[in-house]
Amino acid sequence: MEASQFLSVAMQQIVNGISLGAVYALIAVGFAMVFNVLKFSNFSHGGVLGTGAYLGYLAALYLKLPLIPVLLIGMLMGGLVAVGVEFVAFRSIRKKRGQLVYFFVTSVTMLMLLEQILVIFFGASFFTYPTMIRTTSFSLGGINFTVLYLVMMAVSLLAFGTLAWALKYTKLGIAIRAASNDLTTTNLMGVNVDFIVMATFFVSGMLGGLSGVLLGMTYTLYPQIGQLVVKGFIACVLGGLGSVTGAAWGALALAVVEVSLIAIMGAGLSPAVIFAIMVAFLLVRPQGFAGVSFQEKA
Amino acid sequence: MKKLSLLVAMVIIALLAVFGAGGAAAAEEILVGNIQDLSGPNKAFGLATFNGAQMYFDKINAAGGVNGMKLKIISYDTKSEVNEAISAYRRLCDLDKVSIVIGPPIANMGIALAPIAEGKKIPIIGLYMDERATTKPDGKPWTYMFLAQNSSGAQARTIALYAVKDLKLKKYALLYNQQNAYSVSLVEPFVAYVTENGGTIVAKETFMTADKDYRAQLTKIKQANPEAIYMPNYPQEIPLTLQQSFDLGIKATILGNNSYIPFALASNTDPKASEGVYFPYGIDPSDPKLKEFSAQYEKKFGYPAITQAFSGWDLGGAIVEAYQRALTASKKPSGDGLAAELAKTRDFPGFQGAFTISPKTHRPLGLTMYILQVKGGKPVTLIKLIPPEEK
Repeated sequence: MEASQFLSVAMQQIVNGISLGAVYALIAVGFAMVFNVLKFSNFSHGGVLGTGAYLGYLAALYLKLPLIPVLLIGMLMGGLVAVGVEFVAFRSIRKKRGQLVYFFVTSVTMLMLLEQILVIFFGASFFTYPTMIRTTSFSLGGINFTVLYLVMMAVSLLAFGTLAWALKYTKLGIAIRAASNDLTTTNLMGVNVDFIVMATFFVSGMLGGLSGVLLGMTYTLYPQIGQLVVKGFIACVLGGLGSVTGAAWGALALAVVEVSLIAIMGAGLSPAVIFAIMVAFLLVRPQGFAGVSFQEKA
Repeated sequence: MKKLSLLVAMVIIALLAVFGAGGAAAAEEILVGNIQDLSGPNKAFGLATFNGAQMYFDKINAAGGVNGMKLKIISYDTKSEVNEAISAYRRLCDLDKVSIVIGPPIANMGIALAPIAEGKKIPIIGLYMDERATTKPDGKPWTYMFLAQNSSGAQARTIALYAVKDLKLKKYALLYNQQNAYSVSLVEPFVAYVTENGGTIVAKETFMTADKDYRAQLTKIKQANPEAIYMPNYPQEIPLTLQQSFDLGIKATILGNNSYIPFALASNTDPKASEGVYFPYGIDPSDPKLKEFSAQYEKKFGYPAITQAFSGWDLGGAIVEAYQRALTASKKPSGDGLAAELAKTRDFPGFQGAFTISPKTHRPLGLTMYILQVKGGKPVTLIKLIPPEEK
């Protein structure tokens, strides 16, 4: 292969990896939010993502809404479902100061429950979103870009920017950061911890709903779509559990490595190699990219 | 008192007569099992197979049934899971006591059911195209397994024949799900036919069932610069492979399988992504002879008939004819008797053509296939083909 051709193919694969990274980053950041405050891996985030995706689909199909209102509905519904999950599943464990393993088991159970609810209402068959973006792709300098992935990247950046600003400058954001540092002390300082936890779940659910709608539009809609949360979890581990920024970087790294491995050794071997790399990475740097220790966390 | 006793006795006799007659009527039913995906990702295929067979049975029942016996289908949903299909088959044989079973159009399930049917001795006739579902590794047929549409080999060789002889294509790439027996069973005969007839495979890329993004594989395929890409996949994968090929600016001819209607035309797929795609199909949708059935089907179920609905009708016909022949030998035909009669199916006038089952393979012989192309967002029939080795 000529050098210029190799470069072009390599560039295309990097673009493929980065755009896939945008998908994983949205999932990972929503996942990291809850970990930040309650210190457990919240797999119910996948169920919230799936529910948001289906509700956004209903809005697009029956209300015939354009892209932005559908995204907003997905976010709102995701937020509300996440708050519901927190109220039903996690609040009593938190009040009783339950062990972290209870949170973890409950979160997996909630993922399965939400999936099954989707199966009951929509069946296990798959659906496709109506066309919401007319132009699907374009070419620039020999590299092909998919419009939906670019939209996803833009939306991810906007969401992360807003989140970073809100966490740093708003009263609620500061309270969430305080809660993520020490929930008990924050409570002693007079902050309504129940409200902070609920707000954290709402923001995390909004990101889940947003990623659900975007994933549903980019791929197809099926009840197990929420299982993509595993990619978010891996990204969080790579990035350093507990760090929202680390989760985004972890997602990007995971996607680029994944695409590169598929290109080099094929789709059959790449999942095994990714897990092997993850194990090796954690042996060398257990705190992830961001350097936040995750010891004592489930 | 005597009169009262007499009256009670008469009432009891009358009740016994009524219920006795009822019991006899129930015994006069022919119970047919049905194992289909009725709610999972392949429910479009499962429902179509079931509906087609049910419509044939309705016609026979309306005309008095088979020797006066009505056909009754007992259905179980597999949800696209192999273990569910195995449980359903066992339940149908052991509890429901059906005499024959309509099998699923899913290769993995057909392959899993074949050895179990050897033990249960209740024949299954279905649309599992993978040849391993009907013949053993030594080439002999599984005793109780029958196929009611063209096999994956026939389908793959038909599209390969068209690509090589008519489209004169030489360089091919492959993109398929390596975890799906159906996709794998389509790829192997396609590659064999193409390479034996002067073609070359310049790229072979696979993906896993859970994967949704195939752009890494498609970028490699684009780099190999094939004239055509063969992408024989399941419904949920078809829109994604087409859209992502299009997004990467791939100009090669796309060759598909018989699931491309209606899934290549999904709402989230750019119409330009599926334009010009070629794929084989078991029926000619523009055939006026099929239009009456299609209209009745759509009126009854509220959605259009796909190829599996027509195969389901033919499958129903093969069951009824086998039962009629078996009844001449026995009042209550055994699974062995029905299997033997299914293997003798000859020239049943089905929608797929003259439907004959080969006793050597338990698969149909010489069924026609059609090559369709998506033109202007609609499938258009181009040509009718029977690969020479399928005659």
